[in-house]
Amino acid sequence: MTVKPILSALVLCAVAGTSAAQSIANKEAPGVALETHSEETGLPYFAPGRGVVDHDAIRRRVLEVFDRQFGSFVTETQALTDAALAYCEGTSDEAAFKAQFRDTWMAWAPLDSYQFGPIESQGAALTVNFWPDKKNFVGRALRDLLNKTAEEQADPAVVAGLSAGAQGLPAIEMLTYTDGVEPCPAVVGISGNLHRIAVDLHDGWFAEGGWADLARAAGPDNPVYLDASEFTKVVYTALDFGLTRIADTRLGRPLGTYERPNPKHAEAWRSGLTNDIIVAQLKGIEEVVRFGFAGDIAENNRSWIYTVFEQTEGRVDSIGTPVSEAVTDPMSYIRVEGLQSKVQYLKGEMDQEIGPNLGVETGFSAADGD
Amino acid sequence: MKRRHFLISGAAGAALSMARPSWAMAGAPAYLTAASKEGNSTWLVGLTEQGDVVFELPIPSRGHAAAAHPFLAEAVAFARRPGRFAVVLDCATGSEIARLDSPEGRHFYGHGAFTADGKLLLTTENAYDVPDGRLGVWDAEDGYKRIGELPSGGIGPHEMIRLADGSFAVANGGMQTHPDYDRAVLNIPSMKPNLTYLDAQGEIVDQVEPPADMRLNSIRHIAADDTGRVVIALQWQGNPLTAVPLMASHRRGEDLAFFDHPETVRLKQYAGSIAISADGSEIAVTGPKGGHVLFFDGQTGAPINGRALPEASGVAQFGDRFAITLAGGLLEGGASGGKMLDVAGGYSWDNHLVSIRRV
Repeated sequence: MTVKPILSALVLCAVAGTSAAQSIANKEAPGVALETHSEETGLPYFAPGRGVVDHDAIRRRVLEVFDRQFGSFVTETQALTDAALAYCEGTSDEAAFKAQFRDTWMAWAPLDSYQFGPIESQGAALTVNFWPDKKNFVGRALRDLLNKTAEEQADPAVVAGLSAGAQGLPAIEMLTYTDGVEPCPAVVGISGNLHRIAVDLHDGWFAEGGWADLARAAGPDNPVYLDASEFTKVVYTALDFGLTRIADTRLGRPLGTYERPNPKHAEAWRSGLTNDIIVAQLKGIEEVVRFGFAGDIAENNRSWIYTVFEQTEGRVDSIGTPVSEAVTDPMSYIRVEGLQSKVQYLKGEMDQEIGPNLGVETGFSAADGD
Repeated sequence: MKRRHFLISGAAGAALSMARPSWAMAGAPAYLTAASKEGNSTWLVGLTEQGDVVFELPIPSRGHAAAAHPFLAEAVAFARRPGRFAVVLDCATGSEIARLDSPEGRHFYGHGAFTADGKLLLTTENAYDVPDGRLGVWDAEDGYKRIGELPSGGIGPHEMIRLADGSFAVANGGMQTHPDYDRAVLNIPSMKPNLTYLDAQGEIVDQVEPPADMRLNSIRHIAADDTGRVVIALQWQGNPLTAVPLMASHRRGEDLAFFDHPETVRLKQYAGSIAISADGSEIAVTGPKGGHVLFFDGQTGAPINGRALPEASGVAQFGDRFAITLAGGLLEGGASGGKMLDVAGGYSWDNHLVSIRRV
């Protein structure tokens, strides 16, 4: 199972290497070679086949990106488990644990876009990141955990048996960033359980018979993907959803209205990670476009969408303070609102520049189900 | 909340109804369905049994199912989940009678049913922050004003129907969703669908759950015969490679009965709509994702056969057989074959075909 992706990556490199200097006869200006591939990226300037999209290649490359992104969550949750233990044993300080907590959330952020397949079937959206939490389910579930013995609190299996609110990143955040609350040893149990979830998610995708195999077996007998283009469509829709999540939920909730912003409706307001999460999710989406869709999107559309991604990420930086603080100040409120508009613009540009390149239909039919 | 009294109503409404047009005045459509056309414009369409379009009325966004008033030419077109609006249309004049906005913290699932006297409309709703399933109660005699809500008896109530005796059956699909997560299911590891019965006053009187191995088989779309037997189109949320039946039936006081079919695999784990023929001899189950329809014996539940029908989606009674919406028009027939009626207009049908005389 592990050999295949490496092999295909090698093949890709080889193709890219040889094709960098490719040229074809130029019908409009005979004698002048027409470059087809970018020297810099090795990718073709135009969508191959001019409208014939290679969905098998897209799937192969997207799965490589997913393998990396889900793999990173496995790595970071392992490091978080180690960091929690060290912190609770007193061999490292709180700052080191908080730094690793941040890295873990940044590894989760891109996965938030992929609410299909293993995340959906394992119910991981809520166990990893119970949010929005209008009714303080996280606080209530944590009370149940803190009422247990120290030994039980440190046991991932005990945490796994509690309601979703106690299992995820917001639970660790509440324990770590609330004055007067002792995070140890509960953070050890929660981190260990998070790592178990991360491994299950990666296995759900990439173990034998996992979701990746299901996508690879697209065809008339496949219960989910009737042909290879359907996986492309699901991935594209997921990226679109990720941008909606940022604009409507991650930014829309704290923005509220100009008269009544909701600073505590910002995700991760306690730790102040709100802005970083948005950037990490944007970068995750961009990674799928850049390395997954890659050369199946025409060069001019691709370079334009990278520019818009860059501008959008720049807008996050220009806010200057965490979103939860920014929305309480009229000047910076406008900057948060500007970011929201920019993300909506990016989504519109994706629909105009990227979707059509991939042959992704925006129409709908009864076959969508409900 | 004295919900017991919601659905008990006097006889005062008859006079009010006199001034409002009947179905005959709306071109006597036999069926209602939501549809879209090129450019993603969205419509509620009235069809005769001959496949003629007697009206097409624009609706604000993609529709799912509709509820037809028992005798007035009024139809409620529901937005597709997680929709926040439903439009009540006067199908004789095409005018909008009312627009239902789901209250704060609720959204529609896309189905609803009128009480037998036509005075109240019930809508399946998601109280997504609780999370819990609700039935919104709207007063059809007072401009469709919302007057309260009832528990649906489970998470994710989807289709609800009125039974022949005026009571109701609700398919609580068990799937927890939240508008912040679009259409993703959030509770697959713990989901528990059920079929809930409410009396004509809206009180829950009975519930049945699937056995453990069928826990991930969402009970979503239902139909019933005059004896109160309910048939169910299921949607499997477990491992997509597991072969499971997608049709079940239930009679109160008994367990759920599941019925396999050699062509179930063609439905791609997703049964869309279901109907029992008027003579009770056949059951039709559509599979819009797989483009396939299964026919079962109406009495025994034994498989008869199946047919590949692209985008086969809505199904309702037609004579002693069925009318089925599919790409390009309507198919009228059953297991032994049928007649394809082309419907002009370039419609792409949405999920359900609602029979007006039998709602």
